[in-house]
Amino acid sequence: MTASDHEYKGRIFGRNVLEATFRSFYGTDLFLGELLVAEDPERARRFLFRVVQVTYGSDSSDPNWAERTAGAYMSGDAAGTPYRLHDPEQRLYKIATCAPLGYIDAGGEFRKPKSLPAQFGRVTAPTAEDFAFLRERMGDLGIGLLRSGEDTIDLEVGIRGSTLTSHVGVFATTGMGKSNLMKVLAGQILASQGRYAVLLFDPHGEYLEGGSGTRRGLRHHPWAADRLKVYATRASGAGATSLRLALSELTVGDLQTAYEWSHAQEDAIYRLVRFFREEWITRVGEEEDVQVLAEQLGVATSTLQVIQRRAQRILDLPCVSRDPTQPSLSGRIVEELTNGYSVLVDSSGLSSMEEILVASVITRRLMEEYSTAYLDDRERFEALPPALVALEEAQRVLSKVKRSEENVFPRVAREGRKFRVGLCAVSQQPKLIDDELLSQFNTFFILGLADERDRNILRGSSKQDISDLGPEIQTLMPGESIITNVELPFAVPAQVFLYEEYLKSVRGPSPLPDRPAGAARGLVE
Amino acid sequence: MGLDDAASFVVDLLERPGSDIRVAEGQAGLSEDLVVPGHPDAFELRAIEPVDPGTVWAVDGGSCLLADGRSFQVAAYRAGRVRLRGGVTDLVESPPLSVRALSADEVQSLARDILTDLCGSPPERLPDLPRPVDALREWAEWAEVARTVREAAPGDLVLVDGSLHGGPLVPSDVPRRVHAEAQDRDVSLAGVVKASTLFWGRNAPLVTLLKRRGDREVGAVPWAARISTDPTFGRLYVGEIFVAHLAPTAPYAFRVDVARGPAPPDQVLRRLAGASGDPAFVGYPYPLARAHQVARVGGYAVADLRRSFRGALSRHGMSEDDIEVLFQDFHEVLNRS
Repeated sequence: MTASDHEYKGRIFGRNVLEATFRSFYGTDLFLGELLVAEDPERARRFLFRVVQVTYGSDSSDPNWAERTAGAYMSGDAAGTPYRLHDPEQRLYKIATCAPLGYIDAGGEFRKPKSLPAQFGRVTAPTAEDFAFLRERMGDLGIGLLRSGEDTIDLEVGIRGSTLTSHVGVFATTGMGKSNLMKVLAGQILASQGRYAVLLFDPHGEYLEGGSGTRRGLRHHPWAADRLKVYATRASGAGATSLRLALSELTVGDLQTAYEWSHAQEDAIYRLVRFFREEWITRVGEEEDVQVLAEQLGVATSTLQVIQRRAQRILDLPCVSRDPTQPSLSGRIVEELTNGYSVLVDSSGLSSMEEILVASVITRRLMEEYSTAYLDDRERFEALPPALVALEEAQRVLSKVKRSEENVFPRVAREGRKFRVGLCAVSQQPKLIDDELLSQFNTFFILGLADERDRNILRGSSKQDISDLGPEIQTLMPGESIITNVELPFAVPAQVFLYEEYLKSVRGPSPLPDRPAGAARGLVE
Repeated sequence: MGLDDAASFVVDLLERPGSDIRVAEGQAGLSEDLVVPGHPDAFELRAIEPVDPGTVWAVDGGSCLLADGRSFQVAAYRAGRVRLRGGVTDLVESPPLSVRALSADEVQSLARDILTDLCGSPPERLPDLPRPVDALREWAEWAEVARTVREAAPGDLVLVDGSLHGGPLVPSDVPRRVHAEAQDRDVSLAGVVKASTLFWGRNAPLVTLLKRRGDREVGAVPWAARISTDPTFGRLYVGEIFVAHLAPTAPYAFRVDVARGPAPPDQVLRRLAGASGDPAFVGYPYPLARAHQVARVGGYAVADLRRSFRGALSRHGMSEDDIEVLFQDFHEVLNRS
C-alpha cells in the first residue's frame, strides 16, 4: 500500500445482493458497524456497506489449519519456548461480512441495494462526501456524528423535528448514555427556539442539573433562561416553580395508570366514585372507620384499606392541592408548551407510581389541549408547536398489562401523531413494552443493549431492517447509537455528542448590541 | 501377509533393527548402498540452543504431469525460492511453470544439455530417468540453488529441500560445484530431508529410531545427533549428516545435511532451530516451508494448466476427439466405477 492508500481495506469477493464479503489484510482493523465503500468504476457506482461480522482466513488448504496451529502454539507455551508465527500479514487475512446499505449512482443519487458491486472491487473507508446524500435527510435535530465502527465521519446525524410526533424510543442498558442523549435531544429542542416543545419528567434531577461532578444539565443550556420552564414536585429553590396539581383533576384513569389495582379494588373505586363523586379520594383518605365504609360500599375491608393507604399518600403529596382556591399549574404548563417553551418537571422525591400519576395528569391535559385545538380550531392547531412527552422507564406505562382505555400514554402512542403530540419512551427494557405500541414508534435511538430479548423486540418494530445488527448493538460503547427512523435510508450509526461538548457549540440568544459611542450625549443635550 | 504379520514385522524392525547404518544407493556418487558400522544408541544427542537465524534463503521445486501419452509426456515444473531476513520473508519468487513435451529421445538430449550446464562440463553418464518430470524439477531446483548461492551475501544460509548428495537424478558433481561456490563466497549451505533414506540394520528408518530415543532420553528440547561419524563420510561427502529435532515440541525429526563451510555445523544447526519455531510448521525450517508453498503445483493450478494445454492443442489443429483420447486414463474409469 502507498501512503495515499491508507484507507484501502481490501477487495470484494462475494457474495450476493443482500450480503457482501471482502478480504482484508491481516493487520487491517475492522470493526462491527464500520461503514465502507466498494468502488465499481465500470458502472460509476459507489456501494455503501456496514460491517456486520469479521472472521479470520488463511491460505491453507487444510480446514483445520488454524486449530492445529493454535495447538502448536499452546504446546510451545507449555514447554516454555513460545513459538512465533512468521509473516502473519502474508499468511493470514480477515474476511468481513457486510450488509449492503445501497449505492450512489453516477448522478449522485442514493439507491437501495438491488445489484451487486463489481467482483473484486476495491473496498475503502468512506469519505464525508460518500454520505453527503444523508445531509438532507438528517433533519434539524442533530444528536451526534455519523459513526463508522469506532471512528466518526464529519457528518452530523439526527432526526427531523417534525418526526418527534411519530414518537421516539430511547433504549439502552444502564450507563450506555441514555441521559446524555436525552439532554442533547432536549437541548436541541430548546435551541429550536419554540419550533418544538418538550415535556420532560426528570425523576433523578439529572436532566436539570446534569448529575454529579462536572456534568452539565439543561439548566446550563444557553437557551434555558429563555425557553425552559422548570417545575419541582417538592420544595424547590430558585429557578423552579413548585408544582401544584388539583386533587380534583386526578381521574380514575390516572390512578389506573399509576398503580396496580386488582379487580376488587377497581370495583371498590368505582363504588367510591358513585358515592362521593369528585371528593372520593378525600373521603376515603380521611375515613376513620374503614370497616363501616366498606360495609356501606359492599366491599371487603381489606380492599378498601389498600385504597385508603394510597389515597392518604396522594393527599400527603405536596404537589397535590385539595384547596380549590389554589389553581392547578397543569394548565399553565400546557400553555407554556403550546407557546413553544420546554417544560422540565423535577419529580425527584416522588415514588415511581406518584411520578406516573403526575405525568399522567399533565400529559392528559396536554393531549386534551391539542386534540381540542385539532377538532375545534384548526388555525390555532396549525400554529401549535409539535410537543414531545419524555418519560423514563416508559415500560411502566406502556406494557401489555397497562393496556387500558384510561391510560393516556398508549393513547398518545396511537393517536398523538394526529394531534402533534409525540411520546419519547426511555427504557432499559423495551421487551416489556407492548409490541403493538412499540410499532407506533417511528424513531429508535438504540444504544448498547445486552439482553437479546430486548434486541429482538426492537428488530421486529424498527422502521429499518436491523436484523444483522445484533452483534453491533450488543457491543456498542457508551454514547454509540443506532438511529432508525422512517425518513432514513438505513439504520444510521451515530456517535452521540457529549452534552458538555455539545453545549460549547450552541449559540445562545444574541445579547443586546453595545450602545454606539456617544449615543447618550445627544439625549443629555 | 496379513495386517498382524505386517505390524509384527514393523515392531520387530524397530526393536531389533541390526547393527550398521546404510545410505541408500545412488547417494554420494555411489552405485551401491554405503554401509557403515554404528548403533542408534551410540549417537550423542546434543541439545541445540536456537539463535536468530539471520538471512536464510530456501529453494524448493514443484511439478506435475499435464499429459501422459505413454510414449511421450508433457510435464510442467518450476523452482521457487524465498528469503527470510530480519524475521520477515522479504523475497518470494514463484516463477511461472515451465512446460516441456518429452519423448524418450528428447529426454536424453535435454538431460545432457541441462546437466552440462549444471556440472560445468558434459556428464560422464546420464542417470536413469524413469520419471523425467522428477528429474526436470530436481535439476531446476539445483540450478536455482546455484543461482541463490551466487546472489547470497557472505554469512547467509542457503537451504535445499533434500540432501546435499543430490540423489539418483542429480550427478554428484552438481552439489559439489554448488558447495565449492558457497565456500568461496562464505555462504553456508544445508539440506533438510523430509523423507530420509538413512536406514539402520535391516532397513529400519534411522530418523524414526533417533526421534523415539530423543523423546525418551532428552524430552522436549531441540537436539541433534551427528550421524556421519565414520571417516567414510568425510571422504565421500560435502559435509556432515545429522538427525535433528529442531523445536522442543516438534512431532518430527529430520535428516539435516550441513555442508562444510564458513560456519561450524553447530552454528548452522542453531540457526536452523531459530528458524523452526513457526507454530504452523513446528520443527521444520520456516523458509523451506514457505519455499514449498510457493513452488508447489496445486490441484487447481494443474486443472487450469490442463485446460490451457487442451486449448493450445485445439489451436494447433488437434480435434476434440483426439485431445480426449490423449488425456484419457483408464485408471480413472476404473476408479470411478
